[in-house]
Parts: sequence; C-alpha cells; structure tokens
Amino acid sequence: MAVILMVGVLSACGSKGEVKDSAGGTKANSTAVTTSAGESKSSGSAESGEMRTITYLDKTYTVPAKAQRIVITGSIESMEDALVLDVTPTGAITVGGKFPSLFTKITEGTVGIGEKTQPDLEGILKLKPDVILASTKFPAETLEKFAKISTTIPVSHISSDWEKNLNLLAELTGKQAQAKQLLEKYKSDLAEVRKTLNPVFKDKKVLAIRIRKGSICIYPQNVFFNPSIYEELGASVPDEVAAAKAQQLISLEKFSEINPDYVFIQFSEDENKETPKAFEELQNNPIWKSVNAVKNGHVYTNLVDPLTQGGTAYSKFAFLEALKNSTLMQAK
Amino acid sequence: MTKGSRGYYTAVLGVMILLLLFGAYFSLTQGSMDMTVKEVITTLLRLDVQPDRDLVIFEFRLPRIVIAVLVGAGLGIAGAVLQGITRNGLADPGILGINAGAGAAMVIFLFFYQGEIKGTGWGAIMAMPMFGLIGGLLSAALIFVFAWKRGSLEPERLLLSGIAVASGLGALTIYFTLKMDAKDFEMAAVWTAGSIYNANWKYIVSMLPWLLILIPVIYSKSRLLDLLGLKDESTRSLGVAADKQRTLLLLCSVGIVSACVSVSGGIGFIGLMSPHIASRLVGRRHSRLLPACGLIGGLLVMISDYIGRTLFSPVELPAGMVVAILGGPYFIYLMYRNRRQA
Repeated sequence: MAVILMVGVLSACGSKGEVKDSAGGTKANSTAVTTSAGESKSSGSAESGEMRTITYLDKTYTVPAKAQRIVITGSIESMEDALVLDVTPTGAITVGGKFPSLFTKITEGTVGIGEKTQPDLEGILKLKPDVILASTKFPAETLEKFAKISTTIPVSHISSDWEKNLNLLAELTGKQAQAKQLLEKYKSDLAEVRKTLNPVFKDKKVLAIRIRKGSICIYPQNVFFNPSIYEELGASVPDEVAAAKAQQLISLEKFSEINPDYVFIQFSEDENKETPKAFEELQNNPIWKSVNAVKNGHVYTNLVDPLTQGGTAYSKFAFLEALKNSTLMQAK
Repeated sequence: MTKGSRGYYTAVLGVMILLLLFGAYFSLTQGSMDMTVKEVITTLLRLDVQPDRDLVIFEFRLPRIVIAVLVGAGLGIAGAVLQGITRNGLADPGILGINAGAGAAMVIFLFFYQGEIKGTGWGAIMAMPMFGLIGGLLSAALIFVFAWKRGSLEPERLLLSGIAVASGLGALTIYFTLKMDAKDFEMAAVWTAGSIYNANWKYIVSMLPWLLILIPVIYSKSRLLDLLGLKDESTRSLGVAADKQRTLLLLCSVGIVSACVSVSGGIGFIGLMSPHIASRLVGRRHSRLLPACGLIGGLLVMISDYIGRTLFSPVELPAGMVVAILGGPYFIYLMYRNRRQA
C-alpha cells in the first residue's frame, strides 16, 4: 500500500489549509483508521491515496488528502454545515425515509443511508467512504462499527463547537477559504445587527421556545438559538433560562409569569404529530394573549426552518439573516 | 404420530431448528450489501478473505443473528417460567419490572454521564449494558420486597407489585426524558424501543454466561415447574418447598431477563407469546415446553430483526417494534380467547 502519511498536523481552526492533491486526484479508498482506543485497522484497497492527518477536538484523524466520498450519519449538524459549504455528501441521513427539503440543494445524487439513529452500516460500507462524519451522540459500540468501515469522526453536537464543526468539513473538502469568508461575513453582520438590536433587547426579556409534543420548551443558555440571542446579540438572560440545565417543559402559566417581551418560536408539525393544532390552540389561549410579547406583536414564529437545531453555522447564519430582514430591525 | 408422543415432540423441535437455520440463512445472505450466497459461504469458511465481506458477515450480520437468538431464547424461557410460577398465562418478563428498571437506569445514566464516557474500549461499550443490568436487578429486588408477605411469595402480589413498580419506573423514565435535551435522548430511544442494532461480540460474551448457567438450572427444575402449576396446598402436600423453589426460579428468570434486556432493550411480548405458541405445539410439560419456548423466542426475535432491517431498508426498525406490531394483536387475541373460555 502506497500510503504516504503527511504528518503535517493542520490545526482544527483551519488557519493553515493548503492541501496537496494526490498525483491523479483520484479518489482514495485506503484508510488507516486510528480510533481513540488506539487500535489500528485498515480496510479497502489503496489506489493512490495520499493521506494526511487532521485534528478535531483534540483528536487526530487520518484522512485522504482530498476527501471526496463523505458519509454523514447521525449528525444533522454536519448536514447543515454541508449546506453552508455546498458540499454534496456521498451518503447522508434521511428523515422519514427521504432527505428533508431543507437539504435538497446538497442531496442530489446522494444515497440515503438510513435514519439518524440506526444508520444502515452495510449501506455505508457499500459507498466506500473516505471519511464518515458521525455524531458524538452515538454510543461507543456504534462508533466502533463505523471505525471499522472507514475513518470516523464523531462530530460534536454541542453548539459551542459550531465553528470547529464548520471548519472540519471545510478542511476535509478543501473549502477553508469559503468557510473563512462566511465566518467573517457572519461576524460583521452580527456586529451590525447587534448595534440595532442590543438597545432594543436591553432590559427586555427575550425568550426562544420550541413547541414539542404540544408543550412549551425552553433551553439552557448555550443550547438552541439561545447563544445567538443572549451571547451574541446581548439580550439579558432570563432567570428561568439560566436555571435550565437541559430542555425544560414549562407550563403556559409559567410562560406568562416569565412574561417575555420578545418571543422566538420554533414549531414543526413533525415534532407535534399527536397535537398538530397545539400551536393554534396556544395562540387562542387567553393566557397566551396576556403575555407582553403577544400583546405588542413581538412574536416571531419559525424565522428559520424548524428542522434546524440552532447552534450550527447554518442555523446561526439563517437566524441572523432572518433577523436582519425581520420587523425587529425596523423597530425602535 | 400422536400429539404428545416423543416422536412428535422430536419432530416439532426438529422443524423449529430447521426454521431457525433457515432464518439465519436469510439474515446472513440478505442486506444492503449485495453478496451472493457463494460469497457468504466462502467468507464464512475463510476460503476467500476480503475485508469488506468479513466486516459485513462477522461484524454486522452475524452478531445480530446470535444476539437475536440468545435474547429471544432467554426471554422465551423466562416467560415460560414466569407463567408457570404465577399460574397466569398473561405474565411476561415485563411484569418483573426489569424492562422498566433497565430503561430507567439507562436514561438516568445518560442524564448524568452523557458524553463523559469517551472512547470505544470495553469500559465505554459495556457502560450502558452494565447500567441496564443493575437497573433491572434493582427493580426486580424492589418488586420482591413488595411481593413478599409473611415469608411467602404470592403470585398475585408478585404480578400486582410488578405492574406497579414498572409503571412507577416508567414515569421516572419519562420525567428524566423530559429533563433531557431531545438530542441526547434520541440514541437512548433506540435502546428503549428494543433494538439489537448495536449487537456486537462483546455483548454476546457478556450475556452468554448468564444464559449458559441459568438456563440449565431452570431446565433441571422443569418437573418442579409442572408441580408449581398446581394449587399451593397440593404442591405442599407433595413435599415441595413451594416458596423457596419459586424464589429460586424467579431469581433465575431475573438474571436471564436482565442480561437480555441489558443488551437489547425492552423487547416485549416475546416472553408472552413464546410459551403460548410452544404449549400449543408440545403441550404443557415444562421439560418439553422450555426448549420449545427458547427456540420459538429465538426464531421470533431473529425474524423480527430481519424484517426490521430489510423491510424499509436503508431505514431500520427496531426489532422490538416489529415484535410489538406482531405481538399486540396476538395479545388481544389471547385475552379474547381467555374471556370466551371463562
């Protein structure tokens, strides 16, 4: 096997991103897998694979110089990153047996490899991936199986890693420049939006909620769209959000007690299958109507596709873009 | 050949083993990865070694088949024991609260340790099953405490406290589920639905000792199980220490079910269905019923997993879900028949 390891450890931030293409630029099937446990396995036959290592979240992975065949499994986060960078994965997650319309742009010619939780291992193997982008949510035994197929990178599902996740995909596909540009644009846009919104949100209660199974859910400070709202746009964190350690159901009474001045609602019928009318009913509820945000028309429903999870580059970009175009920016 | 004769029994067992082999054959040869029968066989016999095929056969398909058969057999036999000692045809391992206890333990484990156990070593892989096992055993212990009355274990109390503890733990599970981020929970949901998706050799190694030790113990008591089906007074007059033996048998079932549930999650209905199907085929004598139950249970889980894996491929259904889809109507049919007989 003519596997040359380029032991130039590229930093995860992707600051240094020159990737040398292998002679013919042909797809490389050979993989030298290094799992965290340190066991080494190789699968697939080597054509002409120039390898390199990349580091992501303090772990080093060996991948082909230019990863062409990427399979995304379990990580909607990576799907969203692929959307941002316009990367078409070879295999990707389906939801209810098909690709969500959100991802139409990047799933042309992509093979479905099953749902998020129980991906089709043989289907993945058949695609001969250069690299598998899995999720840190997978239990160890599933990750172990992926690692036997090809280099597997468990992509963090923690939203504060969003930049690292985006850069990881950029690095794999040689799109660092694009990622960098997008991040810069985001930051300058953010500064601009913040300038307008920071005074608006000042001393006001801003709350992002999701309606799941007919109930109102709030999230901790670092989950969902909360980092965008509090950390990046500078709204003050309501006590209830600060106290939440995980997703928390709150009653409508509690919601009215918080009495937010601005509410962002994400509602997807997929998440409310038994109660598709829940949101409608909520809106007709007198308690709901008594909340400041509702009274003053500061309720923003599904500013971005409710399938987006918040806390990914795509979600953040989309949320900011939606904010920019929303009535909020005109408001005083 | 008359029903109940030795020849008939042997024939039934033979047919079941054949069916089992047939099922295993299908499970081995069918899947997303196209492999011809010849390729499967040459891979199995190590005549033509190719890494990809090895992976599919030895890592993906074979462990699932083995786990399916083991779990099914364990649950089937435990079901027969439970129905025997409670004298209730509607008893199933679920009433021991083991599924609920293991499920609750798993969710609590995820709630506190999600993401903190890293890597793919033995420790990380066995962490979930270990918690499941502990949770299962604890909840069974709880039920024992409640069911114990004046030094004896009453079947009715056992059933009732089992149901009560199971629903209590179910509520606890829901409570923690709601406290958790849905994202953290979605992988655990696979487990609670009773999936053998994560089958691997480590799981097989960890559950096998339980089955290898406890099933023979139960089988050696099959005569006793027949007697325990009689009224308590009659059993005692025959010189059987009913309570002691019942407890022993129960403990054996708890061990088996815990081991099964810890690797496969809550696959329901197998323990309920297998004894009923088996008793129609080979009669009520436990020396015959138990082996038949094991085979039928194994067959049911294996077929369910096969269906779940291939029906909507590449989308997979947890085996437990397939079993429930098949088992639900069967359960209703059983109750309907019971009512008519009553």
